[in-house]
Amino acid sequence: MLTQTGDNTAFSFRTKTKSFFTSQKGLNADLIREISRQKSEPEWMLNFRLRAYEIFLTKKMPNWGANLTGIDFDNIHYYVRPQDKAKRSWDDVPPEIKDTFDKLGIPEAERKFLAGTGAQFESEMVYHSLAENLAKQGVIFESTDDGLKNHPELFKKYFGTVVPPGDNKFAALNSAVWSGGSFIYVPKNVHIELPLQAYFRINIENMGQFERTLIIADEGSSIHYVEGCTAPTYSSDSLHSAVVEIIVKKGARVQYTTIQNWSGNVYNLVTKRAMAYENAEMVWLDCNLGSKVTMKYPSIILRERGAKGEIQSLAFASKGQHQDAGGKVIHLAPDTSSTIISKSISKNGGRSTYRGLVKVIKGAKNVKTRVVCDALMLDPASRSDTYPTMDIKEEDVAIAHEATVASIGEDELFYLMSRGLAEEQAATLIVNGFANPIVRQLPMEYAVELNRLLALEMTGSVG
Amino acid sequence: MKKILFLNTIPNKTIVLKNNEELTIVGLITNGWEGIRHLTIKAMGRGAACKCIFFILGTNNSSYSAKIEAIHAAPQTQIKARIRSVLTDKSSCGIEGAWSIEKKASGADTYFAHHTLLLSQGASAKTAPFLEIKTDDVKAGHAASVGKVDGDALFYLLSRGLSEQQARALLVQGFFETELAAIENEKIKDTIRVAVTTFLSKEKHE
Repeated sequence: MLTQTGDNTAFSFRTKTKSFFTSQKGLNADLIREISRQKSEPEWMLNFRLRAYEIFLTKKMPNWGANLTGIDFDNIHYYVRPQDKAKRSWDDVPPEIKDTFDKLGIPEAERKFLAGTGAQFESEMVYHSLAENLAKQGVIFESTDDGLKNHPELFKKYFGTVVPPGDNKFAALNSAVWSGGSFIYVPKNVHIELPLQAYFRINIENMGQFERTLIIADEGSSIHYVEGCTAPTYSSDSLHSAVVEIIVKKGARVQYTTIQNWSGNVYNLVTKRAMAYENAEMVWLDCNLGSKVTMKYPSIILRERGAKGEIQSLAFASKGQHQDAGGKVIHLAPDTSSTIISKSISKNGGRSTYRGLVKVIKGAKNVKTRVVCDALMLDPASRSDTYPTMDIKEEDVAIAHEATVASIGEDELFYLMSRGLAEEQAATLIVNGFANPIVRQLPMEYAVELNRLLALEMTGSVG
Repeated sequence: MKKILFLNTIPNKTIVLKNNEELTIVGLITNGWEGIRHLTIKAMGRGAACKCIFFILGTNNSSYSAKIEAIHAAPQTQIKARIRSVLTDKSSCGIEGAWSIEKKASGADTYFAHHTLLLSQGASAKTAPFLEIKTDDVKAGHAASVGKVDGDALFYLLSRGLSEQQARALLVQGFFETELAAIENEKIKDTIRVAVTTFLSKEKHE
């Protein structure tokens, strides 16, 4: 039976915090030098940032996809640093920040279920804990800034190799001003049983978050990383532009799960890409709720024989929101296979878009791909678009794509209401059922949270 | 009133359908072209219906590229396109389907499918079935696939004593036959069947 919360305020609180250093609004080369200096970065990183800034200035805004005209690059804080150093112990974390995390339910989740937590509050890791047995196995789980300091060689070898700064305007922006994010290295044949998680929040008005995550799963290893977001509500637009790079070596497996619920004024423009080597497996599980505009297409490059990729995404677009999501798979080697499953829900004038690409180059024999996108539209004011592209240069392949768009059936509603459910409850139940194939793959506590978020989104949707 | 249009290419053209107008467009396409053809189908009147069935037989190094745009601009309209292409040699086929259902087009019923069979190493296909839907009371779907002749099916036919050419011809005929059922004109059906057979025997000699 569904419970009605009817209380939307649960996810729209904010806590007063004192930032140690907040950059001026707007971006220039001096600010980038200042960020790099404050972080005491090596020179190559400063040069990398400055080069990326040059690219950012020359690249045009994307002229496809969502409407990005509301972004004012001069009205954004590019760097905020809440503390001097990321701290390892929970006791050292300032009380206001703890308070915010308490509201998010982090400590319980962490104590009960999770091995390690990288909690991103504003631009930097404030709290980082890593279960001892993981550290013993040689697993590195640090903020990206610490990763650069503590493991310079490993870091330099992989950083920027999957998503180069020239990839797109927002990848260039992130490369210039990145701060925070997670750096994870899993050594050969190490399997991390429990999901690792990081919580992200934006907590100062007009503050951009440009976190940068780099995950390297060495041969035969496996890891499940969970990123969850619930951001407080703000009065003016915020920009979130992350870059996630993942390297999945021979025989390794990486699952990257995102649950995102940005407040309705956030532009969420994220570049996520994984490189999968021989017999490796990469899974993106991406749930997008909230935000004003989301443009996010997790990608997988299947680079060596036998690599497998899977992208599952769920998008919920409500009033004033545009979820432009999807996935890309590029088959560069024989015997590779991939699956893309996308489900989107549009409500109350919201717009959801699936945008995808499947590419098979010549010589990539015996490739198998399946793409399924389903859309559910809850009212006449909403909009749903599908833009899939299949570019196949090899004969020996099996590529299938299908899509359906539908509204909630009168029959289904009538049946549920005849069983005693109110119209809103019935609609919520149908939406939950539609989303379930994706939701049920989430870790249990996240599945519960997501179902609750879906129910919250559905309150007031009827009548 | 029902009309059938039988074409040998994808034309650069805009077709406008009025109230309750029903049109079937059948294309049997064997010669390629340069650049991208642009066919637009607009259902402007209530109850207008259009069925597009294209068969593309790609040979040599020809290219078959087209953008087919379908606009549902009135209630209770139907635009359905089914395209099947069989590609040999270094032929390539790129079809972009741009389907849109406007706000006033409630009750629209729309479908786009492009299935491609690649018969040679050098053939390539690109498919982009785009769908934009601005109202909820619709039935919409699209499908696409790219593949080669099914190895198991081929093996089965060979084990029954057919030559490889005969077996492949049969499978390609089967690939087309599913769409032929929707055509109500027997003469057109026969023309297409003959074209498939001659196309495959030509393929063998080259």
